[in-house]
Amino acid sequence: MLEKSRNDDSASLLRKHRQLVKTMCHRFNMADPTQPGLRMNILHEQLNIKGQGNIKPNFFCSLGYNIYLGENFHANHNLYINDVYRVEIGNNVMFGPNVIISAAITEAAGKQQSKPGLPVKVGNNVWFGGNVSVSAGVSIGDNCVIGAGSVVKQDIPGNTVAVGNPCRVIKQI
Amino acid sequence: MKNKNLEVQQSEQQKMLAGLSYDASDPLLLQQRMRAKKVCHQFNLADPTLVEQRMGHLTDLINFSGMAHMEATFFCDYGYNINIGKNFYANHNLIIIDVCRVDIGDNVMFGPNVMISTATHPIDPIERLKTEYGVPISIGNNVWLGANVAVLPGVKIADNCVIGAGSVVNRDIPENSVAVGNPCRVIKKVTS
Repeated sequence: MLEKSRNDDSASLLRKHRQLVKTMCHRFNMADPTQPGLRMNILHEQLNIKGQGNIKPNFFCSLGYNIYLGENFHANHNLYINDVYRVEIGNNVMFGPNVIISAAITEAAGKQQSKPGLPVKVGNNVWFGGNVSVSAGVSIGDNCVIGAGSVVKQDIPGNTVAVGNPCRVIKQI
Repeated sequence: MKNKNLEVQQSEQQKMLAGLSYDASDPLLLQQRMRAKKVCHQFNLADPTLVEQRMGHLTDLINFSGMAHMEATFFCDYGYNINIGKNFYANHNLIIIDVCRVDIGDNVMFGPNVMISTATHPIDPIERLKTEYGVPISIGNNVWLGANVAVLPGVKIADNCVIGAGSVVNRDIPENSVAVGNPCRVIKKVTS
């Protein structure tokens, strides 16, 4: 699908799909906040979620179908996942408010990228504080804690606490 | 053992407010959260040109002591833990996770995307699965938070401080300070 999108026909298909997904996110964000289960059903239309999942509005994504969420996923308000490439999140993961995950790569000046992004992987039992940003290609191991406000540009090994911009490991769990 | 018995008698709400580990799926807490989410939803969907009418949604939820103006969107968890002084202004996308008390003084201004969170979890991944608790936050009078500032559990920001955009405030900031960065550090004193 992603490779095909390089030619015109599928580019228009992709544009249509993006509109569909933006509409889905809009419906989710406008939905009755006292019915979180029904509200989550809207995201189940495109996202691959194991179990019910729990995401609080506002939520935005770009394609939806590249997002894989494990069991027992919790995200606080204002999660944004730019899933032009695969974004895989393990079981028992918790996100604070304002988390951004972007699998997209921006084209560097004069350099044409061969693919639109790089996959992002978050392991099991990971906790992100608020305002965390994760860049394309990053893999975060199991049991990690990523401190609030961190900008994660490089892989984080499992069983660590990592913080800062750029995000660095400060201790082992 | 005595303490353990005492804990059993406390409601989940009492535990939450006392900063102890509590069960967020408790029916009463869930009901209170749903009410707050509903009010925030109404506020966020309200006509932005009818300023007073829009702010009116929040007056039963949050303890305001005077004039306050907030832009949409705004989210909080309970509302009744939030105490805001006179003459408050918050730009778009304020989030206050108020599982414990959040006190904000008079003449306080927030830039866009400010996040104030009293909620935290243990570092241990097994403990974290079932444990959540809060630590109160206080912000003094005449404080200005720039855009994208995160204020973390337990932090006290004293009077007359300026917190630079993008700061992550994980420690107390003494009065009359200009403080910036991640982690947020004092870079100079405010002189008048």
